[in-house]
This record gives sequence, structure tokens and C-alpha cells, in this order.
Amino acid sequence: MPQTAAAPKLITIAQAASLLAVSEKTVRRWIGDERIPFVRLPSGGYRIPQGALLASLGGNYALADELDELDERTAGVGEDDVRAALE
Amino acid sequence: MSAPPSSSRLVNSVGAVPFVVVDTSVSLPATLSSSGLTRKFWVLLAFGAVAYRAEHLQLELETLELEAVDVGGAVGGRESLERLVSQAERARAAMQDLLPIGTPSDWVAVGGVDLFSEYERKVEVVAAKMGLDPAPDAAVARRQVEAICVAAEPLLDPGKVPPFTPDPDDDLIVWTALASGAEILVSDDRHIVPAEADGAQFYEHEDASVLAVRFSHLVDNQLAGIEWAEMDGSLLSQLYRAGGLGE
Repeated sequence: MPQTAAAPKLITIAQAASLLAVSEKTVRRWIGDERIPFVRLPSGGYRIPQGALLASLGGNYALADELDELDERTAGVGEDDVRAALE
Repeated sequence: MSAPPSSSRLVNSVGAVPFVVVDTSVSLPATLSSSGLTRKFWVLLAFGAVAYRAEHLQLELETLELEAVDVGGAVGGRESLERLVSQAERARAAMQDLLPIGTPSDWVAVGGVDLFSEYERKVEVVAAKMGLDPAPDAAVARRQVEAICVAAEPLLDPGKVPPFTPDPDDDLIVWTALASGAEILVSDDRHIVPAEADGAQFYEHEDASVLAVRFSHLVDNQLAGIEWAEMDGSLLSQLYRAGGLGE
């Protein structure tokens, strides 16, 4: 420590899956579709740039639509309501 | 632990970018309520994320190519990365147009698997307590947190995390902030920033340190110059779309 976010970090498929709470199969599908960047190693493994993986969420999911739906389900909820529920 | 430093000591190790970790006591109000100041803070972090990515993703592309040369591998998905770079540049420009003049673009969030999982778990707890029906999909809500983070720590081994607070779950959050090189941990958790700490608590371990601050302290001090009244937190999804994100 510390490791800063400034240096690009390449991670494995397993790490990517763990990071985003998706299956390794999902990450492999993104790779297969070239929806995320990667390096294919001679061994057959893959390395994925972490920043691009997180940035690519917008392309792999409908973030704006998801936020709209989230806001719809929590319509009328104030931040103090959430804080109170956290107590 | 020791006394918190003054704000003037907050010099970032990687330049002008103050990396921040936001714990669930702030990220939950920010994402589950569209009307408060925490949502406006979320807009600020989304802006910071796209601005950071616009510059950082090009560096990742170069790193990917170097790695391929070093190991004799092949780069794939190059177009997706180039698309992300132009998308981030477009998003930065679009957000800049919609945000108050002078809104800083250098507030950047980092996270970690433990933090994301804790958030997801608490969405379910809060939704149940509040009786939200239909309840928010916690996994979907989690992506709103992941999306504004430009980097994340992997799953931590709780056995290796030193005790910083009275709560082991909170220790993971402090450790995430220290391990990620964050300058600031934003938290309204009384274990992380105790009442007697006057809004800010300094943590350090070996050569890493982080200032944990309550959200109100952050707004009144580090973010004092921002025109919050001019910022519309409900614009977040519109901002995403304006920049080509979330399509």
C-alpha cells in the first residue's frame, strides 16, 4: 500500500467477475463480443484493464434507464428517510 | 489513529485528483433518493468519473498494447476501448454544459468489492425497513455505485484487516480507502467518524493515510465553493444519456 487508481491495472476474468458480481461466463461473453477490451495471453488466459471494465458498464447495461427505474421505485423517498432506515 | 489534519494538508499523491471512497451511509441516500444534496454529490462524482476516464482510458489502451508485446499476446476489443474514450470525452463536454459554471471535474470515486457488496446488502435492508414496494433491485442499484468508481479494490481478506473501528464491517471500509490510495473517505457512520471527532477522523496504516469526513463536513469544507443550489440532482440519468452513457 498504497496502490493508486492512477496506474492502469490489468485483472483476470475471475477478478473482473468478482468485482462486478457477475459470472465468469458473463465476462467471457463480453470478451467474445469484444464489448470490453482485453489482452489474450499465449497461455489462453485474459487480462482486462480495470478502468475500462468499470467504464464499460454503461455499454453493457442501460444505466440511465436503470436509474430512472430506481428513482421511480423510490419516488418520494427523502435522504433523511434512508438515513433513518440505516439506524 | 491520530488527530485529523487540516484541509490544507490534503495534497493528492497523483496530482490534483482527490480520490474519494464513499461509504454506504452516504451512497445509499445518494442513490435511493433523487431529491437531496447527496444526489447532487453523486452528480459531481459522475462528472469526475467521465472526466477522469477521458484521460485515463487512453493510458489503459497503451498499457494493454505494451502488455501484449511483453507477453506475446494479442489485444482484443480495441474498438470498445476507443469508443469508451470518445464516449467519455463526449460525456464530459455534455455534462459541463448542463452543470453550473465552475463545477470541478476532479472529484473521483474509487471503491472495492466489499464496499459494493455491503451497499447491495444494505439496499435490501433499507428497502424492507421502509416498506418499498416494489423494492429496488439491489443488484441493479449496485451498478449505480460501480459506475461512478474509476477503480476498485478486490475482495479483501477480513483476517488481514487491522482493527480501526469498533465494527469489523467498518474496518473493511476504512481499509478499502487506505488500500485504494484515497485521500478522503466520506462517511456518516458514527464508528468511522465518531461524534467526538468534530466531523473528521484521520486514519493511517504503514505509509497510507486517509481523512474520513462526515458528508456535512465535506460540503462545508472541501466542497465549499460549489454552487449546489444551481445543480439539479434529478438530472443524473439525463446527464448519462447526454454523454452517451447508459444507452
